[in-house]
Amino acid sequence: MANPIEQFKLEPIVPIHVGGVDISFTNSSLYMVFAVIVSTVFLTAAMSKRALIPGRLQSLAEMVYEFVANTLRNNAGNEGRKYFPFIFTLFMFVICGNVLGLTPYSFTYTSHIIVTAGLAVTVFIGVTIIGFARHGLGYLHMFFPHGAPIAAAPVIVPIELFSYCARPFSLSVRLAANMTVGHIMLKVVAGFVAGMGILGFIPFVGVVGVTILELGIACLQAYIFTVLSCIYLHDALHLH
Amino acid sequence: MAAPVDNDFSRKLEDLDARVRAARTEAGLDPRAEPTRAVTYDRMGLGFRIVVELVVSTLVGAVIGYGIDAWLNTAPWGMAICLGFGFAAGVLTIYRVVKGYDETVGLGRAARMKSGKPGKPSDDDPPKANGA
Repeated sequence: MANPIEQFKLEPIVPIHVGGVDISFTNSSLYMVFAVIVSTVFLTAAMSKRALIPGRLQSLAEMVYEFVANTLRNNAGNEGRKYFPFIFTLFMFVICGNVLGLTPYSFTYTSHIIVTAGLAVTVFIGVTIIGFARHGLGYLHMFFPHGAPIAAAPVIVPIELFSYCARPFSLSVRLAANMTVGHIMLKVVAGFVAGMGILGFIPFVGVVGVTILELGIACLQAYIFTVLSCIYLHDALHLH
Repeated sequence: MAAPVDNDFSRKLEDLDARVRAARTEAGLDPRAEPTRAVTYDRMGLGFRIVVELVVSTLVGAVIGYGIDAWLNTAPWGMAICLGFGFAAGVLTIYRVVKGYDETVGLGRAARMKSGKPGKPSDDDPPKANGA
């Protein structure tokens, strides 16, 4: 049976070394480029007609747009709208990575924690900057709940601060772990299909089920990643 | 004879009024009630969430503590204290998720938003089955 971990191996396609730092163009980079191309081509092609009554492709593009716009508006309020381009890009990048990764022989870049951590830390730093830019030092109020006795501050403030700092990591771990677990599970179950000979149809049915489940998880995790980014943005925009 | 026509007309007007109001709210022209920012999970998602939060918060605490120790030469105190705070932060987040509070920072505010009264935070909220 093929090694179920092998699919996560980074393979340099164009080796580039600059000053001892390995910045090779890997299979992960290749699929990131694919994701950018797929989402750009999809949206441009779908909207090229600009029909008043949308066709199938155009409705799909409009649905994605409205879905993200509603998520942002419901979770970050109307002031969050100006951050729509970023949130939409984030959503498309994550969902393309998750779904493209489900095609056979492909690479899932969202299964690497460094990629998801890069996205989550970007959101975290951006949100913190927005918070301080809008509220100044008043942003620090969010670490101390209203009405709590001041004597409790030495305990409450560090706890809230830690829970704030843990956010990007829990966000990235969740996405990466979900993707990794799903792909390992697919590979292991699929390995039984060939291994069990004529009885292989039993795990084959399982693989079909797991693939559908994974497709659902791929979309759900992209949604959760986006929703939580919107919620963190809301914290920075409205303190109370 | 005039009554049913009238009725029909006022019903149409009401309908139009409701639609205009909905469109206004949708377009963000009217202030609207703040929705609670709680993410709902299925059971597996909820379980996964709890595990990740607990482990990650504790690890973040450990890393920060280790950093403080390495920087200020205070080993092992920084790590010991920050590990405790990290664990407490993890438990706090889990408490928040399980109770169905929103994801924002600050437990007091989350509890107020959930209970809907702007006064004191209520501790006697019935636990809500979030995972269903």
